[in-house]
Amino acid sequence: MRIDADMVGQAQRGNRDAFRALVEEHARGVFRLAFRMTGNDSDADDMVQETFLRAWKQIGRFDGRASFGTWLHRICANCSLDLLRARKRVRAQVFAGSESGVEDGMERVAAEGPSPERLALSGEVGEILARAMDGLTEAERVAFVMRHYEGMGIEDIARTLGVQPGAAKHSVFRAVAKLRLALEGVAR
Amino acid sequence: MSGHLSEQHLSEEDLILLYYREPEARADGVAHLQECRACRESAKALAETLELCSALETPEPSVDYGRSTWAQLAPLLEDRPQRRWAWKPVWGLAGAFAALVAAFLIGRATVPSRGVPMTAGLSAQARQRILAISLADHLERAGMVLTEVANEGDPASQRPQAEDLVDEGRLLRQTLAESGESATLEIVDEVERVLVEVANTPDQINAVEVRRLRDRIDSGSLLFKAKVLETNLYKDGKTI
Repeated sequence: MRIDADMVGQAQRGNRDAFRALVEEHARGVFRLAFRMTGNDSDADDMVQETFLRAWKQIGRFDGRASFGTWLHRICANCSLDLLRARKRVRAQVFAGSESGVEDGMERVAAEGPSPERLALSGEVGEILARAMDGLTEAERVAFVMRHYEGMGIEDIARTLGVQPGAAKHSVFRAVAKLRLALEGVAR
Repeated sequence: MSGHLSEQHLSEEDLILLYYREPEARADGVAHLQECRACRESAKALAETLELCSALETPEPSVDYGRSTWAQLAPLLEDRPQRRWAWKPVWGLAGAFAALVAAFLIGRATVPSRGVPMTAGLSAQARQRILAISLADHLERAGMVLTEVANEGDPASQRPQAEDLVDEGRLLRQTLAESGESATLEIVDEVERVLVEVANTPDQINAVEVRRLRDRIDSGSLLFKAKVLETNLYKDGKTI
């Protein structure tokens, strides 16, 4: 977008008003992505903040090959991945009650009771889906959200996750397989 | 359906790539779907599930969400923004947890309602694995503090994090000493000594003191050693 390009150029030269315009333009879109990544609006708000903080810090590196919005969404995906990984580490250990529990705990995000955000989703299907998303590993979740909701290609996802395209592709495959299992009987 | 065709049935992975129109989707995929009823049914079932996923609603942020985001963001941009949030969701939880794990590993923590040691039923291998991950996590966060001090200029801003790390490090080091991990303990001790200095940094620190602190971090490749140990511990935590 032309307006973005102008604003980004000014922001790169340190113009805070230009950056402000970019924040105001893109914050809602970043929030939607962050919510899908994290599953709740409090974490999503934090991710939005962190995304723009990192964007401001790194704006000099933005080269315009992707749109500014896409660039922001990649940053948001990375921030969310960091958060999900930190969450996993803590939960994996908290829930490790046995040797096998440690192993299981490493691979899952513990299911919690429905949050107010969940209850706001569209009824039972929304609840099942939200829980199923929580059951994905962090890489599966981020890969699936980027593929399904953001329309990003496997190569882009791999770059964002810092993995080989094959690994990114398999994260998407595993995510879809788990979601199909969770939604069995709901679909159709 | 011909035998020739059934040999080329589309796998679920093929169907997913086709659904998302990935460039590497099977070139004959669409043609196959037109001819093969079984694959068409599978594709339809997959599409139905994925369409359900599309219905995942997100709360719609208010129209002035961008403005309120900026209002919160603007002061942080002026005041070394990247640090503020970075610790917020991760730090408190991780620090409290590491202390709990350490207490748990040295057998101090009990299940509150029953007074049973939390270590009960855990194999030595499982305890070792938990210790490895906890230490790695501790070193990762310690590394973040030391990197900030080494690269920026205000050790006092890292004081709260350093204080937390010193507290939790005490228990972890005790666990290490009891398990005879002397090589690991040596590096953790070294990190600890610098963290204590950061934790005790006065509000007004002079340039000479800052320089001395940075030199201590730089000397002996402390950050590098901590990073290598952290990486190995994470690896051990997964493979022990």
